[in-house]
Amino acid sequence: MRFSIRAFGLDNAVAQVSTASTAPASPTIAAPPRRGGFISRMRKSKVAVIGFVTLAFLATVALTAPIISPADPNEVAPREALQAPSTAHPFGTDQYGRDVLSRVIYGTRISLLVGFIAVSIAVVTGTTLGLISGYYGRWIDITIMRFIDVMLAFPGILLALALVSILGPNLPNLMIAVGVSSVPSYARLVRGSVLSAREQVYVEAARVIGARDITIMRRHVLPNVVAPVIVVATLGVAAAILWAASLSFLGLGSQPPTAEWGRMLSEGRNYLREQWWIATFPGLAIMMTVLGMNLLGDGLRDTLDPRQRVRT
Amino acid sequence: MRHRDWSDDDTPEETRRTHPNPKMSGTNSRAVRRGRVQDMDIDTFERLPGLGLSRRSFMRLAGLAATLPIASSLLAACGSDDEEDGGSGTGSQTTAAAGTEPAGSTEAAGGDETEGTGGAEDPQPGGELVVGLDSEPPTLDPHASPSAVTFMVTSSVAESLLYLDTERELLPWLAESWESSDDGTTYTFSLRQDVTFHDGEPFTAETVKGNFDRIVDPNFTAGGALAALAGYTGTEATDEYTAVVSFENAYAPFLNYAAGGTLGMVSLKAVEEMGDTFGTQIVASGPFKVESYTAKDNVTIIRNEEYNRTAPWGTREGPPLLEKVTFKFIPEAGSRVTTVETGETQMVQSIPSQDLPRIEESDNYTVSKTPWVGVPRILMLNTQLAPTDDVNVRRAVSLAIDRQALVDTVFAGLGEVAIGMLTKVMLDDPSLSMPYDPDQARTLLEEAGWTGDDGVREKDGEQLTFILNVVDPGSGAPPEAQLIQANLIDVGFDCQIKAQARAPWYEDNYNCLTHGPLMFLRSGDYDGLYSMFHSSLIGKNFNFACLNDPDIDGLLEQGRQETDANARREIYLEIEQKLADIAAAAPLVDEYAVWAYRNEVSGLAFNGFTYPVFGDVAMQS
Amino acid sequence: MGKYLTQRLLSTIPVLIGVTIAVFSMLHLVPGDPIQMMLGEFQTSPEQMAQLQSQLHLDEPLPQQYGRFVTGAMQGDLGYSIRSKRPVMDEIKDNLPSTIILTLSGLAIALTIGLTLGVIAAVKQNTWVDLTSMVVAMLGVSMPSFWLGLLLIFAFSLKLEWFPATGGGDLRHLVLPAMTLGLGASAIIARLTRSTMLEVLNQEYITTARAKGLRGSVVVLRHALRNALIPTVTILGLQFGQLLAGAVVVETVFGRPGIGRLIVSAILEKDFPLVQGIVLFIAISYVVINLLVDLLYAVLDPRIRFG
Repeated sequence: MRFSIRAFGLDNAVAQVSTASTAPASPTIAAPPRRGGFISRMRKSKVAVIGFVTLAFLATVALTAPIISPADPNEVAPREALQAPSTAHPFGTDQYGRDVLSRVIYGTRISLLVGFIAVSIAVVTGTTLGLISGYYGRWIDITIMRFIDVMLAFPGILLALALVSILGPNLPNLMIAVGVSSVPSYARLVRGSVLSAREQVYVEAARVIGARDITIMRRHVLPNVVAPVIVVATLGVAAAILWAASLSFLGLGSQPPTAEWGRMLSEGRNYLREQWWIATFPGLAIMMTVLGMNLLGDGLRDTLDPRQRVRT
Repeated sequence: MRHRDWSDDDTPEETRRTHPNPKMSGTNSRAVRRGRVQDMDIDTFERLPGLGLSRRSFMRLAGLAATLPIASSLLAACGSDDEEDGGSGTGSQTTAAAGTEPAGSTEAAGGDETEGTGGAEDPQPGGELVVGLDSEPPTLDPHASPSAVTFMVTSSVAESLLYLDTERELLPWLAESWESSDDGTTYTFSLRQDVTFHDGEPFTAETVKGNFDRIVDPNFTAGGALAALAGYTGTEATDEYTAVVSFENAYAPFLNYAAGGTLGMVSLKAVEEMGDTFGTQIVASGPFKVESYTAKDNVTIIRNEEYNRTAPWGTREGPPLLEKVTFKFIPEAGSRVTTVETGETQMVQSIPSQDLPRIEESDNYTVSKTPWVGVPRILMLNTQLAPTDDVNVRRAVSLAIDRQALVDTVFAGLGEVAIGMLTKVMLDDPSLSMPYDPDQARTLLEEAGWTGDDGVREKDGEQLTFILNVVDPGSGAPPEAQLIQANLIDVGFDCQIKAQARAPWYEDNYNCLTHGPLMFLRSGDYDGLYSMFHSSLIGKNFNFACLNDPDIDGLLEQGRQETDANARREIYLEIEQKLADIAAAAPLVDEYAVWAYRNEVSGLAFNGFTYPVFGDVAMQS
Repeated sequence: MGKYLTQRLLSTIPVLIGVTIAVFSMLHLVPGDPIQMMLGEFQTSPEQMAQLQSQLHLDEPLPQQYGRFVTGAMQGDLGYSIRSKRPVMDEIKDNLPSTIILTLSGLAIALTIGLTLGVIAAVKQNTWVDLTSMVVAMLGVSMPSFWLGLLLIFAFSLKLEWFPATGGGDLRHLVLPAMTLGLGASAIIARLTRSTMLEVLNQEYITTARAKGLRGSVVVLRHALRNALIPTVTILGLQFGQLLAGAVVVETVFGRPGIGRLIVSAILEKDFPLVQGIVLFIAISYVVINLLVDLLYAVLDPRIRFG
């Protein structure tokens, strides 16, 4: 097995969300956490708590958007355009008179949705590929891993850009593009876990008994994969949200009049000098969301796999 | 998909160009003539009778008079926002002979400070001027460009047969004298004998012939120039310096066109030698020549030391004072304004409404605003694509748009509500108006079968979709797009904004693929409507409404040939009424062309088409 | 070492082939006819379509087209841009220097700030210095780069007027974009450096060195840092790629000429040959850079060589 740093599947997680632990830590199996201890350990990690609270807050905002939002996010009122933050409009109004607070609130929905869907696509696809690759080995493994290597040959946002250019700029394509671009991390990660698990005695034993492959994968291998995947996925949602906002900022994601944070920033750019609020609040929202997810991911990692802990 | 019908015999069908790039096309044999007759500078502007007008209108008209000389036709069609014609209106309307003196007072239509920048102490040669343009020209080749931005640059680089000054006078330029035949089909030009191009080639009657023949050559993708030569049958060089240009029919606007940038004279030798790259470095005969072109960044012109004549806009003889003019492409409005404030540029085009007050109030700049001539910012409505193929749907669109809101916000200080297909300063009449009546719009839609008061309307299971096609020059979709979208959504349309770069935007329009291209057209003459609405120009010129209406066609042709000013005005009024009735388009805002320049810029002049000419500009410390 | 080298080099080849296949199929995987896509969906006559097809060799069997594509690429011919009609390679050559300068400057800033911050935080572990640094780093990691760019423009361009807001060319135009790029990356590097330093600082050989009586700073700098640098160096290659990708956004925010802005406008203009060419160029460069980093890594850490 190549000992390149990337073989450990942590490179993308490191690069994308840069909550790196010492490299190269091996994605070995943490002992499946005892149920009782998990929650209490989570609670002890300040970082995880903050992250979780933030996420819960954002999820609530997203779910209750129609209720808590003071105005229709897409309702234009040209005569109320470009008003500074006030009691009537806590975040001010944009160039079309739309209430910025409402737009930021509704933007939460889109960003969380895009983040979770993109990562879901990546997790499902990546885990499947990793499982197959790691379990069956030999030429299947080599083929799939080469394929993953090719995907990794495109740095960061480039693959997503290329995909969006082919598919066309809109929100669903954005989710697909970001999701597909994130597959390699999970594939590598899962494969690594599977490879380690495969060596374990109990897997050998199961095979000897004659258990079906799928059963073995499901019962013995998968549980060990879950923990690292959850960690990477949480951090991955943060990255996905950032990427989606970036692509929308470039004009390659959501289309008007959708209230999406990245796009709001791009439109607010023209008004930066005098009407700073149009671009500032969406930016804060992005940062808060990404920060929350990152903290949560850090906390999860500390809890689930102490060996990967960033020393605090 | 529609199959295009080439009904006009003058425009033989061609094999399609392999690369649909309207920008760079030299004498490339692969180039297919799509009849992209855009952006013609039709400056055939009759004198407006100044009767019975309010003082304000009169001042505007007077200002217009100064800036709309009858002359060459530079029809500049712009697709939304910053396209073509960024609008250059200097405020030198009320000063007489603005073409012969440095632009002194700059009384903008909006009522600006009248600071005299010109006529200072003896200007010294040297210096460099940096100008911020709002978009990049697709090509510098005047014959090939559909975009007005090109002529911001080439007005000081390429010369035409005649010159249109701000008084709407036709002055001699490359032609010393001219006359037209009685029937208006032939024009004879006596040319100057002392003109050479930047590459040393002499300018003769053969050059004129070669230039015009090039434009109509089916293998050449002409821009607005082609419409300027509609009906062209040929040029004859009766002697070395006499050119006789002939047309099929009486063609009154031609002299104006001959003074326009689209019919500027270029060196044929250079065209042949440079092929495709000619568009990035044209070779002509003007006081400046092109030094370099950096894509997406800037184009630089430098002083032509060999220039030994007197340019028609000034009284000085010889090469210009400035050493160099650099045109930077800064589509992002906020940045563009910032550059003139920091001094990175000394002159910029198009100030957005949110920055305008700050610039106007400052003593460091002069802001010139000139009402646009031609067609206002307008939403063309595709008459061949459902659902806008239904006249009632189109009428509903026009009624649904709150133009006053546009003028109050996005166009604050930058324009006025449009009343018809031509701007008010060009053709004003109390009978013209564009009302705002969303309720009536809803009624019309209901009656047309589009039901569903809540949300998107439907008919036979189809949704009422409207694709708004706008140009994103690199700084995002134009701000008015979302307001229009909101208006349309309000009455039940599913309005989607398609914002794209200029080239694909043209593609969509030539193929009548969207419901509503957003654009404007700059034209010095009523005849601009011809290129917008005549059926022979579907798919090639600015007929983005894909309108095929024999009545309108007939009237447009008539208007072209009518020489009596009053009769002409009546014809075009009738055209306006008809167009409004069938709602072939929804005019939005009569815009101002806005330029801001710093105090150290002196001697700035604008030609009759409101393009800046830099021959007499000096930079003062 | 030699074995590792050859192994590594050999494994790069299939990747490169895969990259070319992937990029090549960009045009062909798209639903619809590639010609239609390039020409923008208008109805062309059959003769014109045929002419364009043969001109672009699209009527040849796919493998042949692919062969043409690859041989062309190896000779530096990446096709022609539809919009500007210039060779893609020329467009890249015009824009690449600006991006390289930006990326390297960003990297330099990131390393300077990141390493310093990380080391200090590690050395002063658990003090307020540490805490603040890490909070700041966390914020930096979570902040969208385009927002940071806008904030910098607002503060230093619009309000203070120290630096220009857009454009490229000289040093003044480089400062804000490089800062935007660098600050984000420095947060990553800071966190990484801190954690690796902590790991190393607690290892036995450090304790030994201290016991031997070596001065603290000597210990830190000579022993700890060098070992802690290894992961950072590894990350460098990846960071370079990330920064390159980040340049896409930063160049757009600052209107700075470069590959990033080039590819974005190519996508917006539907100039697919240009998009394809740039993607290929960047991907191959990235593979090569990572190869070099891996080799460098092997030089630095003997443990890695035997795999």
